[in-house]
Amino acid sequence: MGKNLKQYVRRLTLILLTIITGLYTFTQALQVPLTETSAEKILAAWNILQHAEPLSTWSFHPLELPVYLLFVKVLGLGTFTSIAVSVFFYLILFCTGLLIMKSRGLLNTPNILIWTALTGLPDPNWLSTIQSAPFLILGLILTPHFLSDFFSRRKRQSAIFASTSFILTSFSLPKPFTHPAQPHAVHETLRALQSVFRADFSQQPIMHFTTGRYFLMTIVLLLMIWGLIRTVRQFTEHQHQHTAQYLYALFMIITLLWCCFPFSGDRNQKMSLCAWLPYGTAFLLIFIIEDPAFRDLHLARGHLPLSTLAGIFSLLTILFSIGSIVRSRPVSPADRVILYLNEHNQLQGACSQNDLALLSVAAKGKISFSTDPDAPGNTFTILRTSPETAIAAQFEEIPPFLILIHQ
Amino acid sequence: MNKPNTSPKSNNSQKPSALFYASLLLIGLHCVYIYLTFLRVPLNSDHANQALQAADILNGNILLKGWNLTGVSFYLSELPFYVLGTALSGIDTYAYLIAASSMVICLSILGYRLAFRDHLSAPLPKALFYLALTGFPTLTWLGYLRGHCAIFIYFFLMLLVIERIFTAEPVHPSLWILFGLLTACGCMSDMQLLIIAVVPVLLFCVLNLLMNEPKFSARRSVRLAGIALTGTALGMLMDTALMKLGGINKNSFLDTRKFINMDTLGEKFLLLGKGILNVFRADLPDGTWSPQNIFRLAIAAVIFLTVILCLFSILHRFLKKGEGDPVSVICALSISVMYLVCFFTDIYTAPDSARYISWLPFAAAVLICRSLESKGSDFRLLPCAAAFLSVGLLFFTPPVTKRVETPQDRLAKFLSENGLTEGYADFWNASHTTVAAKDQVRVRAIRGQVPVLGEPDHLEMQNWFCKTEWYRTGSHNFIVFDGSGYLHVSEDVVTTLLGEPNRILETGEYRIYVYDRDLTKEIILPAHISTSQ
Repeated sequence: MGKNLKQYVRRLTLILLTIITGLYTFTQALQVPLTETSAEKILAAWNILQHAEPLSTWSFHPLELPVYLLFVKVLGLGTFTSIAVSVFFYLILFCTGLLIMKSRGLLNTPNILIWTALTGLPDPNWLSTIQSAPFLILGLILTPHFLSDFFSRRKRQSAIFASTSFILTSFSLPKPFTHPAQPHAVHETLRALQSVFRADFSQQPIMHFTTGRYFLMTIVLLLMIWGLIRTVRQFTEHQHQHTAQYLYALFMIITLLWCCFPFSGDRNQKMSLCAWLPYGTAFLLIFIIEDPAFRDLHLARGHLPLSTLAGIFSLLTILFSIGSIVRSRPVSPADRVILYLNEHNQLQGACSQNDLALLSVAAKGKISFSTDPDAPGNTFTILRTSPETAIAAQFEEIPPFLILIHQ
Repeated sequence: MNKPNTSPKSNNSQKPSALFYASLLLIGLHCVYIYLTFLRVPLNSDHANQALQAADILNGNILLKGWNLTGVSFYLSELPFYVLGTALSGIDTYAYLIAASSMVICLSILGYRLAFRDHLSAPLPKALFYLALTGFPTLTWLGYLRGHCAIFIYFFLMLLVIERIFTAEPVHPSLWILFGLLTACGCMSDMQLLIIAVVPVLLFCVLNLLMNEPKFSARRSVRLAGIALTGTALGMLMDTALMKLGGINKNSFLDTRKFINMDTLGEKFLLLGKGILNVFRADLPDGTWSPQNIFRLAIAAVIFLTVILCLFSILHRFLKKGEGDPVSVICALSISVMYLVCFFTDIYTAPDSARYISWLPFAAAVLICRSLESKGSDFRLLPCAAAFLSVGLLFFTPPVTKRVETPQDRLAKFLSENGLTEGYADFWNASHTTVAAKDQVRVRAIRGQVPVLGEPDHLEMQNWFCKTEWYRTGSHNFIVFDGSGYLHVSEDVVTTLLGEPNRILETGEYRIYVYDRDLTKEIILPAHISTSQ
C-alpha cells in the first residue's frame, strides 16, 4: 500500500512537473518570433489541407508533416499554431528524456531536478532552434540510448530501434561541404553553445534577474566540458561505466568537433546541431552522479550530498528564469503590417517570395498574398526596407517592411 | 557549530621588539614618500569637483542640495577625505593632494595589517617584503588609484572585521554592527563595493555552507551573508534617501551597464591586460625597451604570475577541502569576481578604467604574504631587503617638495591677472582651473548639444559633477578653448552659436573668447534638470 502510494505520488509529481514546464515553455514560446521556415511549413500544411498546392514544395523532415497537419487542422492558419507546435516539440523532447531515465531506473528526485534545471526551462532562442530541427535532436537523444541497449543486452529489438532512430536523424543531419567555409569556427561554436545553453549574455544588462541564469548556465556549460573530460578519462582507464554514458559523450564530442569544422555552416546552423547538447549534458551528469565511486568521493571531500546540491541548483535556475516570463505575445513587424492592412481594408496584394509565408500566416488567411505584383485585384504591394530601396513618400514604413497602397 | 578555524598564532605574551618599531618607522617613511610622490600627480577636474563638493559641505550644504553627480555619490567614501583636505587647506590643489594621498596611505597601511597575521615575528623583513610588492608606486598607478580608493579601504576594513568574526570567541555584537555599517555606508557611497566585497563574501558563505561539515562556523557564515545582504539593501536605501532629501541628480552606474559583445573579447583581453600591467607598475614611462623597462616588466610579470598561482592555490584548497583562511579566500574571490566583471562587462571600456582594478597590487600583496606566512616561510632579512632594494632602484621616483604645475594653474593665473573671474570651458579645464585659482576664478563646464543629425544647436551645462546653481548665478563672460574640442566646445561651434567674441586672448595652449555681455542665460540647462529644479 505504502509503495503504491509512493508510486502514485511520484507519477502525480511528474505529471505536474510536465504541466508546469509546458506552461513555462508556452510563456517563452510567445516570445519566439515567427520564422520564415516555420511560416513556410504552416502555410504548406494549410495548402495541403485546402488542396491548394502540391507537396513538392516540402523540403523538411518527413515526420514533421503529420505534426504540422494536425496542428493546422485543429488551430488553423496563424502564429498561434507555430507557438503550439514549438511547445509540442519541446514537451516531446522533455518527456522522452524522462522515459529514458525511467527505462534505465534513473528516475529519482535529484535526477528529475537536474533534468528540469538543464532542459526544463527553455528560452525563446533555444525553443526557436528546437522548432527548426526537432527530429534531429530527438534522434540524437534516442540513438545512443538504443545503441547502448543493444551493446549491453544484445536484443534485436534495440538494434531495430537504434537503426530506425539513426535513419530518422540522418534526414536532418547537415550535408558535409554544402556550406562555404566560415571564419572563426571555434568562436562561433562557443557562441552557439552559449545560445543553446541559455547563457548568451552578450550585450544584456548586468543588473537583471536573468544574469543569475546566465551565470548558472555558464556553470552547466563548464560542467559539460568537465563531464566529457571525465568520461574520456574513465574510458581510457577502462573503468566500468554505463555504455550509454560513453555513447552520449562520443556523440557530444562528434557534435562539438563537427561544429568547430569550418564547413559546418554559420552560427544558426551550429545552433541547430548543438541544440541537443543540454539534453546530452543532463544525461552525462546524471550518469556521473549515479556512479557510486563518485558519490563516495564527493561525500569524503566533505561536500553536501549531490541530491541537495542538485536541488539547490535547480531551484536557483528556476528562480532566475522567472524574470523572463511574459504573459502576452510581443507584436511582430508582420503583425503590425497585417494590422495596418486591416485598418485600411486591404484584402489582396503582392509581396516577395520570402515574405509570402510569413505574412500569410500572420494574416491567418484573411488577406490574400501573391508574388505577382500585376495580378488582377491587387490593391497593395509590400517590399523590404533596404539601403538600396528609395523610400518614396507614399510608402508606409513598418520596418523591415514598406507598404504601398495602390491609388 | 561555533568553531573558529583560523586561529593566528597567539602573540599576546610576546613583546614588540626594536625591529617592530623599526618596521613601523619604515611604513611611516613610506607614507611620507606616497605624499611626496603624489605632488607629481596633477589634479584633474573630477577630483577638483570633489574638493568643491567638500567645500560646499563645510559651508553647510551637508546633503549636497543642488548637485548633479556622477554614477556614484562618494558621499561616505571619498568625500570625508576631501572634507579633511579642504578643511586643512581651503579650496586649493593641496586639498586634493591631502585627500588623495591620505586615502592611498590608509589603503597601504590596512593592506600591511592584512598581509600578515603575525606582525611581531620578523617585522622588519615583512615590512620590507610588503613594500617591495606595493611600495614605490608609479605615477600612472597613483593616478588610477585615487579614483575609487576609499571603497577599497572599506573592503579592507570589512576583511579585518571578517577576520575577527571568524577568530574571536565569542563574537562581540559590535563586530556584526560594524560589518553591517561598513557594507551599508560603502554601498551607499560607491556601488563598486557590491562587486569587490559583497558578492565575494556571499560566495564565500554559500560555498562554505555547501560543505557537509563547514570548516568555518555555519552559523557565522549565515549571519555574515544575511548582514551583507541587509547592509547592501540599507546602503541602496540610504543612497536613494540622500538623493531625495538633497534633491541630487545622479547619473546611472551599474543599472545601465551591460555585458560586452562576445565578439569583442579579443580587444577586451588586450585592453584589460594593458591595464593590469599599468597597475602592476609595468607602464613604460618612455616607451622604450631599455634594460630598466625590461626589468620593470619582468618584476610586474613575476608578481602577477605569483598572484595567479596563489589565487588558484587558495581557491582550489577551499573548494576541494574547505581549507584556507577567510581573508585570503574572500580576497581571492574578490580578485576573481572583479576580473570577470571587468572582462565580460562594459564597466571596463577604456585605458583609464584601470581605476577599478587599481587596488589589485594591494590585494595581491595580501594574498602573497598570507600564503607565504601560512606555509611557514621564513621572512629573512637579507632576501627581503634585496627585494626591497632592487624594486626601489627600478621604481623609485625622486621626491619633490613642490607640487607639479599644470596648464590649468597657468590659465588660472592668467585669467586672474586679466580680471576674468567667471566663465566657461570644457569639463577637463573648468573645475580644475577653479580649484587651481583657489575659487577666485570660477570656470564652469559646458558642452555643445548635438541633435540626432547635424551640428550642435546649443550650448548647455555639462551634467557631470556640478552644481546647477553655478549656471544660474553670476555673470559669465568668457569661454576657454584648449584646441581639443571636447564635447563640441570648440571655437567654430561657439562662434556659430554665440557670435564673434569682442576680444580673443591667448596663453600657452589656450585661447579665450571674451564677450562684453553676460552669457549665463545663453547656456541652457538639460531638460531633466530644468524641470526638476
